[in-house]
Amino acid sequence: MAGYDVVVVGGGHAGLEAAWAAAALGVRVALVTVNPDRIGMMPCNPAVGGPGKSQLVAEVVALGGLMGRAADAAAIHTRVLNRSKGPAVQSLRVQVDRDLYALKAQEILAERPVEVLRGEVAALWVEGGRLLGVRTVDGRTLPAKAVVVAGGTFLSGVVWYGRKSRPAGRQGEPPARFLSQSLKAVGHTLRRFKTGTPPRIRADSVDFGRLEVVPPEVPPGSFTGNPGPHAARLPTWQTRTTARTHRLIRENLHLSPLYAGDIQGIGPRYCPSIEDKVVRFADKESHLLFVEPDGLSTTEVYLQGFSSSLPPELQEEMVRSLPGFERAVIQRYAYAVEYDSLDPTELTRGLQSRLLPGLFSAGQVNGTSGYEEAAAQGLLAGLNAARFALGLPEVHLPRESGYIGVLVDDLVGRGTDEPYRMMTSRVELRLLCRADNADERLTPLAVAWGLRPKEDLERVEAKYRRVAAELRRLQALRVEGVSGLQWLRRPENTYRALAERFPPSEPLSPEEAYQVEVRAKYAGYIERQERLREKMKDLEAFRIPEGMDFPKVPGLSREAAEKLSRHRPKSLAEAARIPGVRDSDLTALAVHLRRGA
Amino acid sequence: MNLKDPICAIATPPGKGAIGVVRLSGEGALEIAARVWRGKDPRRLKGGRFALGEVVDPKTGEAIDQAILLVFRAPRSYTGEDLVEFQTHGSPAVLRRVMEVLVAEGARPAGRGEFTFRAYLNGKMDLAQAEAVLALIEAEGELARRQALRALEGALSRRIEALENRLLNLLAHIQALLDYPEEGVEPLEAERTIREVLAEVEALLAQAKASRLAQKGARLALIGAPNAGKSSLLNALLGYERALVSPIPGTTRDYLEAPLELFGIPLVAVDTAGVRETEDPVERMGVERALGIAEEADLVLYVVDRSQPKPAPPPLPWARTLKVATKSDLPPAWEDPEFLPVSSLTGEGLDRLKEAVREALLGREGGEVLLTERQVEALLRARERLEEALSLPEDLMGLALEEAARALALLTGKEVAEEVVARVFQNFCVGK
Repeated sequence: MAGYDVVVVGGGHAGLEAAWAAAALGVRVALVTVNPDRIGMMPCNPAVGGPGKSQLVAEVVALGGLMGRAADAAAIHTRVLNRSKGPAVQSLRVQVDRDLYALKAQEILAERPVEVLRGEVAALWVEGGRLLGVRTVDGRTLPAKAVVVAGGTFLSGVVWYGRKSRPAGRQGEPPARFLSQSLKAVGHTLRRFKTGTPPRIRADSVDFGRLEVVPPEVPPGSFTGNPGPHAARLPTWQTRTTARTHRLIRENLHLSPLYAGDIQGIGPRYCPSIEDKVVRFADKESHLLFVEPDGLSTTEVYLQGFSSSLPPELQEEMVRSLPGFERAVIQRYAYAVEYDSLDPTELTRGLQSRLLPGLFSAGQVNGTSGYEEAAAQGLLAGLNAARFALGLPEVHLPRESGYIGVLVDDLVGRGTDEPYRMMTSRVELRLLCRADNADERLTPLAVAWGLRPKEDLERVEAKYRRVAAELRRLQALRVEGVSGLQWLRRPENTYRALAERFPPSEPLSPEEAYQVEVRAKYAGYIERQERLREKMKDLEAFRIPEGMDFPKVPGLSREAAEKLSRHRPKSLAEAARIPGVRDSDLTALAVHLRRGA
Repeated sequence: MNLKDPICAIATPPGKGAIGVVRLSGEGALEIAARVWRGKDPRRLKGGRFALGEVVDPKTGEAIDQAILLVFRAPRSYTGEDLVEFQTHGSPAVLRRVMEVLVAEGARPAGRGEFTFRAYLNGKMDLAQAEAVLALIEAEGELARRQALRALEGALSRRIEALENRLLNLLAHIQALLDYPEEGVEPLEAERTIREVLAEVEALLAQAKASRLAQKGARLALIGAPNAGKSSLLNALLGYERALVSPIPGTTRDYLEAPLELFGIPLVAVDTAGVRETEDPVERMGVERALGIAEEADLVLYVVDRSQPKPAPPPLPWARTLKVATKSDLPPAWEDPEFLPVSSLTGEGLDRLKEAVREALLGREGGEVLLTERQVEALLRARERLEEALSLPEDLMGLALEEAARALALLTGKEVAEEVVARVFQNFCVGK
């Protein structure tokens, strides 16, 4: 059997994007998964986007990824969050039909020649320190120039229901039992991480009349500009925990594997179980819960905010203590899952192993959490795996380029002690790196890297030319004694009102009008962020060679030398972000680098 | 660290000299200079040319000092960048004000050796000189570390950390609202908290002013009617004949300066010409000059002869003026508890006067709080962003507060982004 250029291990959101992006470069790609029917499945909540995450999806879309397309096609309810709080934090969240999402993702993947193979990868095939491919549990060998490991929570996964556990990658699915060993043999450091998921309730057992209704927005929003046919179809609902819920939890904490100390894995702070919430915020009498439909036919609802590792019998009682759930029937119990993840500081910024060339990894394996974080990494890893196979150098997304850049820089530059979640507060340049201008920021790269056709760039460039022209027109316009731009800067004024009074020769599309409005209203702050970006770029331009002997650099403090040796920054900008490295250390380093040059 | 942003520094040695030099270098140096300059626009000056004019505070329009401005254009300057040099009178108070307005207009006080370092980066220096810079960084880095450690001990450290703590909690609250808009995070009373944090920053800065006086010296002006005994008082304070003392009123026509040290505070005492209604044009110029000096001084001693009828008070900055009644050895012509009685002849009241001067300059706490330039700069930058944050929508408020927190983090070494994320989850029940 002929070899592959890229083998992707895993068919989750990271694996999907990896295979899709690699295939865009015209290389031969195989995606290996235990269960091909489950490619693109959503094991946690049936939603894509939200603060921080919608920006990642927008960047994935701009880089030619498939997540935004699949989410839009499968949407059943959309909302824009933070609409009134400013352009930097406005975020789209799309509830999807779970089955339809997987189906759409598989359909899109089929547009490119990706070979989907059923099987469990047992080991990396390494000979003489070179990666040659992978071996499956049933004894097949798949030769490949590059491998992307996107195993999610499957690496030595263990699921917990109360204090009972069994090996599994997800509910009802076997774990990847052997791959961890292979990564360890390469030299990677593995840690145990933990995450959890709430119970699913039979929809016909819920008294929806007692729940608060959150209607979908009309017209619906979308990531790609094309909302799907059902995007404003269903509401979501809310309910609250009661005094009885809290008492049940407090009286039975000893039955939780976390509180009993059975689980050693490190859980994410931002995904607390209901037990955690009740214990840590004891003065709160009630917690808000979100009831999300699983799909158009809504046979099941997802009880967001109620993840738990308490035993199933108790979960029944807890759920029935909630208003509207008095006669609820649990279809699937909440559980916690523990899994292996590797230390991302052992990766390059192209998500390639520093220890074994050609080995890439993406998603939860790298210590993140969330579909969107996984997809973003999958895209970058798949792209670089294909480039590796083609003999091309790695490409990177620097921190100042956007959310994906920050995600990778945080992971690789600092590492993470818990599953990493994207948040807007992590992004210094969030006013520049908005979801609404991801196309402007990243389409040029996407086209240069072969992820999108040239025509896309022409379209995006034409759009921003119109925006620029309109801004110039407003600058020259006199309105009530000031320029149109100054007039627009006043909080009470809008572009729509201005365009009605002084229409442009050709009306702008709503997206273009929004760009004009944001750029006019936030001009001063945008300019300040642009200066910050220039500063980041300056330091970025100071490259630190691989294998630099930091303790030998004169003038470096010992503390800094130690930290630099551990983090191995590639530029002064990266060095500057390592805690404990001071300005004087950077100066010494810069002088030393200059001298070497 | 930044490699091009505008930096400024006092280039002349500390203490009083005939002239003082402040240098400004980097991208935008000419624009900043233009904003604080009344005279020929420095942006229109060729490299190597100078202009006469005034350094002004663009916020108030107040003239700080007459000065000469020299322009050097990149790459033909010490640093290889656009560089502006201000030559002013050598008073530390003036130099400090020049630095203040430059910083307020966007320059940053240079780090140790930073001018030299830029010169090296821009190829204005050879390797041997660079080695010297390195040695300097090594030596001064150690010194700076020790200083920073010392400065961050005790009360100051607790205050800055408490301040930072409140700011980070506020920021976490904003971010919890922005990253978890639906989860019932309680609404924010941002304005009240920001105002409280601002008040504390102001309080620290007020103390910073006191401690900078302790480090860099203060300017003390003696103002009063002719023959009120200003020169004698100065001599008594100095302990030797410095001023020309004569019984003829108006002997000190212009002014005299003398270095003085009280409780470790370097002082420059300025003994001015007398202040009285006069027809003599030369003397009148002296009077105007005296009032001008009072305006610039950190502290004014208003000196009145108690043995003579009380004169009408001149226009002085009373908030920083101490009233002194001289010749207390003679029978008094009036009594006023606001005046401190002293006798330069017998030495009576001199110790109390010195104590009052110290207190007025350093505050009652005796200037225990020593703030370094770096700390002052961080607080100034934090103050600017906090003031701005008051009027912004949430997302921009978050960004402004983040910058304020970053400024303080330079002092405490905290990682702002990490701290904020940690506090979002510590303080708020969010996440599902």
